[in-house]
Amino acid sequence: MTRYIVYRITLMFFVLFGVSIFVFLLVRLVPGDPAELLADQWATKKDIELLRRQWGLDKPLITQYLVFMNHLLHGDLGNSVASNTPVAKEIAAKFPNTLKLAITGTLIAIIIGAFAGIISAAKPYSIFDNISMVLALLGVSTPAFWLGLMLILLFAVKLDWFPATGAGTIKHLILPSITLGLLTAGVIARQTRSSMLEALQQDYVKTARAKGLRETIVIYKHALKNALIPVVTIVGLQFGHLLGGAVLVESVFGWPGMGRFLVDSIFTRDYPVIQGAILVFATAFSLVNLGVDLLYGSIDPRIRYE
Amino acid sequence: MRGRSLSGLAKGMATIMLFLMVAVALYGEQPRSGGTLIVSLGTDVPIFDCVYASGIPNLGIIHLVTQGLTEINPTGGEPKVWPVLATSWEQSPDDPRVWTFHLREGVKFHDGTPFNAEAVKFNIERMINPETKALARSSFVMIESAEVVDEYTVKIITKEPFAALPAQLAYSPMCMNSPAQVQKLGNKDYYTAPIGTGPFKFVHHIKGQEVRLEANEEYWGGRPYLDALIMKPIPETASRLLALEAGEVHVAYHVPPRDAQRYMSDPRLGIEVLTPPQQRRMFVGMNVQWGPFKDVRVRQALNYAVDKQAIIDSIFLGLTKPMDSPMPPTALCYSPVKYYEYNPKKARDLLAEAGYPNGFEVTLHYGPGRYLLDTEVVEAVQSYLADVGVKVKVVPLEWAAYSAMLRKPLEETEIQMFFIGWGLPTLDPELGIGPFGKEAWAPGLNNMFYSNPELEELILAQRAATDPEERCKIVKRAQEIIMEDAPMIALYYEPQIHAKRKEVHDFVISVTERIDEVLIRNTWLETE
Repeated sequence: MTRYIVYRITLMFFVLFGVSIFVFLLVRLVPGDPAELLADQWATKKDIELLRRQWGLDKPLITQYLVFMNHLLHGDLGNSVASNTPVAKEIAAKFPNTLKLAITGTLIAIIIGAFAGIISAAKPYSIFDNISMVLALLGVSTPAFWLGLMLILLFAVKLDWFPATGAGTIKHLILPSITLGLLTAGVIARQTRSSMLEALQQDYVKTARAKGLRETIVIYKHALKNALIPVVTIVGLQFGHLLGGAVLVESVFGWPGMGRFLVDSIFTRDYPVIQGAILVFATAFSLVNLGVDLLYGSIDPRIRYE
Repeated sequence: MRGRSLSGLAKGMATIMLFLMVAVALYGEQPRSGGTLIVSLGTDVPIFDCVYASGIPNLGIIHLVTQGLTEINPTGGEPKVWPVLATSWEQSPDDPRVWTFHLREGVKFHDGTPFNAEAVKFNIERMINPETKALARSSFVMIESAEVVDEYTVKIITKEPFAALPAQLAYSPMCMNSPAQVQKLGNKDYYTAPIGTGPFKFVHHIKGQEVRLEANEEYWGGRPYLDALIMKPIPETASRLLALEAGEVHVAYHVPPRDAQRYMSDPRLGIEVLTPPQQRRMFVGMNVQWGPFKDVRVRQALNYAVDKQAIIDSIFLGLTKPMDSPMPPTALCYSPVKYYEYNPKKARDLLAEAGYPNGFEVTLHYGPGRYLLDTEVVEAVQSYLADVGVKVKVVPLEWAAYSAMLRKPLEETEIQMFFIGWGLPTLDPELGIGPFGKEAWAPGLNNMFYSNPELEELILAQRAATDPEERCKIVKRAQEIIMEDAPMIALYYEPQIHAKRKEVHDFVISVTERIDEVLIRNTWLETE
C-alpha cells in the first residue's frame, strides 16, 4: 500500500512536469502577450519592449522555462504581471474558496444524486423513477448561469433569504453550492441508477432476497456496495473538475474562486498566474484521483494495491 | 492662466453650491451622516496602487484614498481641470517647459505625515523611474523632472513644452502616496496598506470579494457624510443588477440600456439611472494604406452610408449623440466640425466616382464584449454598408488576440477595418487628436496608419501652444482635417449608463468613469 502510494506520487511528479511544459508553451503560442495588453494605450514600441524586458519575456523560451522551473523548485510561482503581486499569495487566498464551494457542492450532489439514483433503481419505471430521471436530465442540461440567476432572483431578490452575491459567510456559500450541487447531482443520479440496476440483477442479490433479508438491507448492504465503484469514480471526476473552479457559477455569484481568477488571467495573458493556477489544478486533480483509487480498496476488498 | 482657471472654477463651484441649495430648499432634504455605501463594478481593483493598477473605474476607487494633484471636471464642463491637491498652477511665460504648481496647505496623509512639495516630487519620480515598472509610465515620460521650490510649491519641467500637463496629471495612474509609507513597505508591498490624503482611508482589499474604506475624520475637505464605502466586484451583469434590485449594493456600474429603461419606467424598483457625460469615441477605423481605403472618397462614402442616429436610437435608447468631431463634446477645444448625415445615395455616388460602383469586399475585426452592445453595433454597420454594395466580413476575436493584432506595425498588419473605442480621460486635445498622427502609428493607437502633413504640424503646434485661445484654434483646424480625411467611420460617443438606489443622494460618477474623488464627500444615505 505504502509502496503503491509512493509509486503514484512519483508518477504524479512526472505528470506535473509534463503539465508545466505544456502550459508554458501553450500560453506563449496563443496570440497576444501581457506587454501588448497591459501597456498604456499611448505606449510606443519602446515602452512595450521595456515591459517585456522587465518581465523577462524577451529571453529565449528555454531560458524563460528554466527561470520558471528554478523559481518553482524554490516554491516561488513568480509575480502576476497584471497586479505585480506574488502568484502563490493570490492562489493561497482563492483556493480555499474554491475548495469550500467544491466540497459543499459535491456533498449536495452526492446526497441528492445518490438518493435519487438508489430509489429509482429500487423501483425502476415507477413514477418516482421517471420524475427523478427527468429532473436529472434537466440538471445535466441546465446552463449554470441560468440556474444561478433564477436562484438569486427567487431567494435573494424576492424572498431575501440569502445574499445575491459575494463571499465571507456561510449564507453566501449556500446559493452557489446548491447551484453546483443540482447541476452535478444529475450525473451522479443517472450513474447510480444504472449501476444499481445492474447490481440488483446479480445472483448474490437473488440469494440475499431468497434468504429472506429485508429489501432495505438487500439494497443498501448487498447491492449498493457493489454498485459504488463507478459512482465513486464519477464523483471523484466531478470533484476534481470543481476544484478547477466553476467559472460560470463563480461569475454569477461574484465568488472569489480559482475559476474566475484563471479565466481573468487568460484574458490578460498573465503567464505566471496561468501557469501557477494550472499547476495547482493538476496537483489537486491528481491527488483526488489518487484518493479515489485508494477508496476502491476500502469499498471492494478484492482490490489490492501491489 | 492662473486667474482664468480660478475664476472659472469659482463660477463652477458657485453654480454647484447654488444648485445644491435649491435642491435642499425644494425637497427639504438635509444630508445626514452615517452609513456604508456599497458600490459594485464589473471588475475588481487589480492592485491597490495607482502605479500598477489598470482600468479607469477601478483606479477611481483607489483615488478615494490616494488623490491626485488635479482632476478632470466631473461634469465635463469648464474649466476642464479642477484642483485637488494642487490649488493652482501656471506655465512659465519665459520657459514654457516649466510649470509651477501651488499645493493645498496643511494637508496631511492618513499616517500623519505632511503632504508637501517633497511628496509631489517623490510620487512623480516614482512614476517615471523605469525601475518602478509603472504600467502607465508612457503617459508621463514627457516629464523631465520635478523640483521643490518651497514647502508648498513645486516645479514640474517637461522635456518639450507640453500644454496638456495639468490635465495629464489628472490621469488616473498619477496619485499622491505617502512617501514615508512607500519607503517603509517598499514599492512592491505598498499596495497592502496604501496611505493617501483622500476622504477615505484604506481598510482592506480582499481580492475578488471587496474593497473596504472608512471615512477620514481629518479630511481636508471636511469629513465625508458616509462612514464607510465598500466596492464589490460582480462580473456578471445580470447578477450585479439583481444585487442592486435586492438592495445589496447601492450603485451598479455599466447597466445595459434595456435594464436602464426598465428602471426608468418602473419607479417602484427605487432605482435611478445615472447617465454621466461621455468621452469615449466609438468608430470603425479604416486602414488608409489598404486597397480601396487609399481613396478618401471611399472613406467618406462609408461615413455617409451608416445611419448613426438610427443606431443610437435603436441600440442606445437615444442616450448619446453621433460623432461630429474626432473629439467628444466634453473635450477642451471641441468643435462640431463635420457630421456625415445618413445619405446612401451620396455614398453610392462617391463609391462610383472612386471606381467602385459595385462596392468591394472587406474584413472587419473586433473584440466582442469590450464595449457596450458592440456586436449589435458592428452588425448594424455591416448591414448599412451592404446597402451600398460594400460586403463586410466580420471577424470577432477574443480581446487579447485582437489587441495583439492591433499592435502590429504597418509592415505586418492584417487590419483592413476595425471597431474600437478611444477613451479621452484627460478631455484634452493632446490625446484627442494626437492618436491620429504618425507618432501614434501601431503599436500605438493609430491603426488607420493615417497621417496628414498639416495635421502633423498642428499636433506639434497645439502641444507647444501657451495661449489657450490660440491652442483651440489650432485644434479646431485639426478636427476639420481629420473629419474631412475620414480615416474612420465616425459613429457615436459611448454612453455611460450606471444606476443607483434612490436612498443614495449627491452621488457623482465623473465623465472619466471614476467616482468623483472630491464630490464623494457630499454623498449621503437616507436610511441606515
